[in-house]
Amino acid sequence: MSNITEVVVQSREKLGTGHSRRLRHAGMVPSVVYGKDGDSVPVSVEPKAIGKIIQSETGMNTVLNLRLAGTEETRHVMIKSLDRHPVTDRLMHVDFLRIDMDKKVRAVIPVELSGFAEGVKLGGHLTIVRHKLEIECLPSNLIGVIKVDISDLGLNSTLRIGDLPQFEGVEYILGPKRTVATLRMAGTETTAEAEAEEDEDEE
Amino acid sequence: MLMPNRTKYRKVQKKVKFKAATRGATLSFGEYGLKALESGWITSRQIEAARIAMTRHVKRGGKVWIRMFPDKPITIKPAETRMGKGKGSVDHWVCVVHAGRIMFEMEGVNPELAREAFAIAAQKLPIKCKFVSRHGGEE
Repeated sequence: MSNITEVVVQSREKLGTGHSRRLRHAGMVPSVVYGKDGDSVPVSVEPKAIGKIIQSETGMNTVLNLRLAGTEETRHVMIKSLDRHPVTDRLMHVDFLRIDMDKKVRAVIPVELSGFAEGVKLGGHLTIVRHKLEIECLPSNLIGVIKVDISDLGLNSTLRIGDLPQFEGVEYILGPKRTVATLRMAGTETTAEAEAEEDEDEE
Repeated sequence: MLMPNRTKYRKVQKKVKFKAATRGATLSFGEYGLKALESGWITSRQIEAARIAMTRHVKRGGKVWIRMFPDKPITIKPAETRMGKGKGSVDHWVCVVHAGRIMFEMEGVNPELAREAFAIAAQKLPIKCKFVSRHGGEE
């Protein structure tokens, strides 16, 4: 567990819009730590530290060791959500979720499709139905992105969750028949939409 | 051109209060998007011009989503008319776009082509825009 990134946070006593705004002007990001039977604790964190984590291989689903400045006490957390400014894209707020390393967690993983599909070469149109998928696993097994090579995907074929790579100790929450992407002839996108609707009906 | 089929009231007041978008500011459907950096009114003609420009550039490949709808009627009084005698008649329809709004989304094309198409579409719009992508590329 020594390779877990440590992030130092400062305690935050003054709350509210005005204080949070002043904190942002001072170069910090207001944050909160919550979950796992404990109370929510308002803290502040340096945006650079969060930026490094997001850029890392596991991205948003990185397990962190959160340490309060001036103490030696650490806590395992994950980034639950990030608020960004809609125009400047600057970090506005971070939610940290306390986790237990022995208990399974749920995380949303982005799906990255690579390669030039055969069906596209023949004039087909690729429709991505699910850009992200929810998984359940132990924190030590978390993955950053689900990479899928779609070079072999032909015309009028569908990429389903069952076709995705399986990772050790990782379970997809949705069933194996759920659609991830479809490849149809251009102009018949209604078929892809119908499949997506079919999926929704199954839910 | 986009316009509502039926409205509850024929004419509305201006109510100009622009702010940063709190909704519709993230990509929801496509891989790439065009984000408004300023607030403003986008007319249905401008939306149509931008849509045509980008679909022509991608040679009708891919899929385009329009994430705004012109539902605000704008009235204009006829030329050389004295003031008064009531509000003018509806001339065109606009969409109130707040800064940060994703106006268009695209999927099924390569990133370079999407970037070029959105750059051409942005020229048809009266506000500053930027290209955004799901995997972090911004311009």
